[in-house]
Amino acid sequence: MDAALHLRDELGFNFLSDVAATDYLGWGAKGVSGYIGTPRGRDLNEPATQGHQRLPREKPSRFSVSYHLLGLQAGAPRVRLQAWVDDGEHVPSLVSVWPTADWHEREAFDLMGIRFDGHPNQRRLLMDDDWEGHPLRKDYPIGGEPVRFSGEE
Amino acid sequence: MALASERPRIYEGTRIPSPTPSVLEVREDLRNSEDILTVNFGPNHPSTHGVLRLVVDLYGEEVVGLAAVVGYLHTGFEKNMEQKSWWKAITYAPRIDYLSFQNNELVFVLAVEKLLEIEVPARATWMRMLLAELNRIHSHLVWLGTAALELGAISMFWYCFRERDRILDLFELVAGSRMHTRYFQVGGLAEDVPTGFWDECAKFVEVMPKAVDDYEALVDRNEIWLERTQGIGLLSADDAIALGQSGPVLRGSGVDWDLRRAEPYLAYDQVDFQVPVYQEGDVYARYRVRMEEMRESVKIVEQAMRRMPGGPWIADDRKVVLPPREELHTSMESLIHHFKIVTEGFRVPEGEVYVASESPRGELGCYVVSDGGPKPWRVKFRAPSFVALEATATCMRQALVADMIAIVGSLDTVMGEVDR
Repeated sequence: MDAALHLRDELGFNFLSDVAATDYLGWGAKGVSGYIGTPRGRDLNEPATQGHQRLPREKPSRFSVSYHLLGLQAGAPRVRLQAWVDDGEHVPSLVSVWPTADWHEREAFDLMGIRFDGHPNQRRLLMDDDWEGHPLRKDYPIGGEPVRFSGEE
Repeated sequence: MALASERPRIYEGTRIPSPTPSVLEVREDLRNSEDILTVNFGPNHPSTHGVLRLVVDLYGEEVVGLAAVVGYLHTGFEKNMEQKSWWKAITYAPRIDYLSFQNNELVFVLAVEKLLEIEVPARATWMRMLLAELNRIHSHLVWLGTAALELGAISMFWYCFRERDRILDLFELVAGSRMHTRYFQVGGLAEDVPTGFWDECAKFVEVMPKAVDDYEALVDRNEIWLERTQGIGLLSADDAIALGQSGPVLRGSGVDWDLRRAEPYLAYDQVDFQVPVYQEGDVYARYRVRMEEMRESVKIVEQAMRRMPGGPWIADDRKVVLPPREELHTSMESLIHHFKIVTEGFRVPEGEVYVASESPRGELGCYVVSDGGPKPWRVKFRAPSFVALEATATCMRQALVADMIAIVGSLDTVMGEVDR
């Protein structure tokens, strides 16, 4: 929070471009590149072509929240403000610093399940209010819903 | 013909609602009034540009409360892209914003290239710029046609779509499909530009400025148009920056900011163009910015056509770029590379980048994380329409019901991009 105010007021980063949350669950694990397979449903992860040539560097926590800042001035300086949290930990909300963070943080909460302390309207944004789970997490099951064809018993 | 006389000045101070910047709450004295009518505008309404839902509190005709609800078109592009190899994920990018598809494709390809540190040939860079500008004109034409249609100018729609079709014809000529061209590859272009393209493009460059004149002749001094756009949907420069607005909305509020000039990508630092800026911050200013931008884009297209460099159209990097087709029959090496790239995909070095570009709607960013494997770990798009909708509550203070349509139209949102 102090860092954010310093960046905005002292260094002139007055424009918040983007807030991007990333889930690093399974980062660097063998055979996993896109996501982790599901207990039920199709496992699209099957092809064994996804090994790493070398393991990526370890990350400090499971989630990262990146605030991409921009200064509207000559040279267009950009900086990435990154917070690392584990599941269940909270990040201070920056809505009071950059009002545009409102929906960005709601989206991060909705799709990644990261809570922002002091957010005035911490609700789901894209999914339904009663949706279970956070779809962009790596452990969120994918594989589609069963489709019934006509004529099928 | 009398022009609209008084245009309300841009306001002082801030109008961003507090504490929630994107929700306009009903005033204290009206809260328990029985005259408040709460209406759902959308999600299925022809002038919401897709499936936007606005929950509006009306006091008579005045909008006193407003909250935008999005998510009806959430299709999980970002999650999908994580499952595909880098090569296949390019296909998803243009579908996010279906009106400025090539700009989306471009920003994703640029991000991957930045991670790969691959050098792109000059011909590909210039061709990308040319197509991105054609795409900008295309997007603005669709905006102008539909926004004017919503305000009752139906003929505008036909004229705009006449020129739009010419642009789509050009895309078809160059890439084989009219929309979602997927013409940009990592490293350059999918194919060289067909020879017939230049003649057709030259014809279009000749026609387009006259067409913009025609549009302006239709609405620019039209009293109904002026009454319904001037002084409506005010947004001050400070509020626009605080709300993260970009593109024509920001420039219509008097902020002289364009990423093409501020942090030039492609070859924008080598072409000559103006950045239109208007101070008024209303719907009319945004309309003016877009009209001028179309003229400037035509200029860029014209320059790019004239100065198009020759040479290769895709980088010569066999680990990333597919080998030339004819080599597959003679070279074992090429065949192996081709097979590996198509089945497994190429690997992108570990790292994270954020690349921004100026799409027709504003700052389109792409944040990409790679773990060194053949699939993206995370892809996140910074969608300008998504951010534009956050400004609805600020723009609609003291608006009337009818203004609401004009304001939503002027923000130029594409719901595919908002919900992703």
